[in-house]
Amino acid sequence: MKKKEIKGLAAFELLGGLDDGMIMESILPEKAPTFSLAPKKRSPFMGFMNSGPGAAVAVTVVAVAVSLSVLAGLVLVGRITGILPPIQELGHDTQAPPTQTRPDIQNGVILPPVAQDPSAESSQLAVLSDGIKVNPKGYCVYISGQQIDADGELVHFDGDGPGAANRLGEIMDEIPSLRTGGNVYTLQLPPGMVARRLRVFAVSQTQPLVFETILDESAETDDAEGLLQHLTELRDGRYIVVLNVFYSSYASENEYKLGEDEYAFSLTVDSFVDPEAPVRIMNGDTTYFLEGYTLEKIYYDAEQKKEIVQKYDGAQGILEEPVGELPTAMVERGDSLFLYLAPFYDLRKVTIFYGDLTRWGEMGYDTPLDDFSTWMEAGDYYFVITAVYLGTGESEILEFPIHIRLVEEPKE
Amino acid sequence: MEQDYARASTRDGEIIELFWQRDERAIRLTADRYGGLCTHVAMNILGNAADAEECVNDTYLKAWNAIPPSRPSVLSAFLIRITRNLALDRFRAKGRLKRREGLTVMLSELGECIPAPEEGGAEELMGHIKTFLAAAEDTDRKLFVGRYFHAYEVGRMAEALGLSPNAVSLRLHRTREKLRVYLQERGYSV
Repeated sequence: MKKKEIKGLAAFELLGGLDDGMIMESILPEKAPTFSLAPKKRSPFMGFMNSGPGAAVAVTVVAVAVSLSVLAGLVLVGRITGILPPIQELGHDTQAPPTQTRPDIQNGVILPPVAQDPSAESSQLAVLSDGIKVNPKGYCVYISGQQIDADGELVHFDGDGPGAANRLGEIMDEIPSLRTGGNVYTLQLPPGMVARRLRVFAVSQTQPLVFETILDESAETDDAEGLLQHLTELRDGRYIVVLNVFYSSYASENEYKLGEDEYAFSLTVDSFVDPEAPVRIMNGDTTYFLEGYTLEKIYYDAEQKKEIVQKYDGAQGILEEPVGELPTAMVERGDSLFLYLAPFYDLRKVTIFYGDLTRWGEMGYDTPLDDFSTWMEAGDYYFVITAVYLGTGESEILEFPIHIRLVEEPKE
Repeated sequence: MEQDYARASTRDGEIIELFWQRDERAIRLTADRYGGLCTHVAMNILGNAADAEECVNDTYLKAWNAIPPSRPSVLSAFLIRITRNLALDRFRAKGRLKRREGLTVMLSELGECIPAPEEGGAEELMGHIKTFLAAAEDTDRKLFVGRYFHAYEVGRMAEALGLSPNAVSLRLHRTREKLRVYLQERGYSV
């Protein structure tokens, strides 16, 4: 147990002395317990009890099952969420095919799978997080000019498309993007669709495959919370998630057949928790984290095999203050720069100044900073981030200065 | 609302009276009325139905042994405290920390804002915490107590209170930070 957790346990015990009134006023209405599989064992690669295609459907549902009678699909949940929102709120088409039966997994009983009416609209994968919903019509994994092929290898290519057709799909639309504050990862699959394999790739040339989970007939299940455990442990950064699914459809009245498909989406993870530190810039594997204008540079040191945090003290205020004391984010040519704002912070504009404080110009919310290093000349810049803090009904305009040094030569 | 409270108090009073008379119907009525509540408290901490059930059964026994001489003014709070303590003991004894990731996150959060009480100093520290919470906004207090007394998950509280999980996390963070500063100003090292 870590020291913080031991301290926390003592504090948790101490809070037993709270007043009756405080205890009673904070009791939530009782609800039916959520379904979860009894944990059998933990393993790096999680599998599921799968006695056949039928059982696989309901097993995958697992995670958070309370509202299944409301939801038309199956749900995987990456972190503890409690009750899922009713499907109306998700904006899904809730009309179920006439022949559909929904799986009943209450009390641990797994019934036969949902069969899909072939006349129903083709299945779509909906990815939800923090209220964002995406319905992709097709998929093709693009990472800034690179592509992940069917074997999980990064393939470089020139031009606008990947060339030959590949298993990941022929539709060249950019895959949907998902950004999460680290709260809830929710994948919703349509009826009759079963998650078979989940692969997560980091946007990295060195070791793209971060982890993989395979639904194996012989593997035992872990508890629901562990199902997408790895997703919740992802470091801040950008990832590509590829999900293989099985789906069933009716071949005749009493017969269904299985097919296989793949879906992909990009996932950006940023775990802002500190409302005093709303701005974060990521440059490849290095994160510049502004906390009250004190910059922390977080990077992985391969020699020491651990994350290093370097702190730089910075002066408060906007550019009228001595800018030399502002923390500096080092960016080299070709780096992609990502600017993240914490939840409830709404970006209004980014005002850019040259090193001599001459105004360069402004960028609105829609202008990405990703390729900043490709179109700016080397030198010093000051980005003043103007954001509105929305919070819970509050509204406040804030400005955060960042000093960025763009260099031509690689960092030593 | 007041009528409901009065009715509840009367029913609790009747149950407590049965405890005092050593009438075993007290246990059955307690289980009927508060079994679900105690089970939820135990489940929030232990995460395991079998352990939670044992914990709740032990709660009834403890209550039986405690009343009399106790005559709790709010029976439900009295029972919740017993269940909570029993669940904590069981949690420690079985070394379940590693399996309850949600709980470890919660405990880490709490460890960042409340210091370990020094010898004999728990009551004074608790007094400060109560004063702080009493002065806090209603929703912030409910969220804080919900999370760090009842061990509710963020998502569940969000749904019950009609907030987004983000909003709940943000409010909890702010309250923890304010509490940390509050205790530091009173000489505690956090």
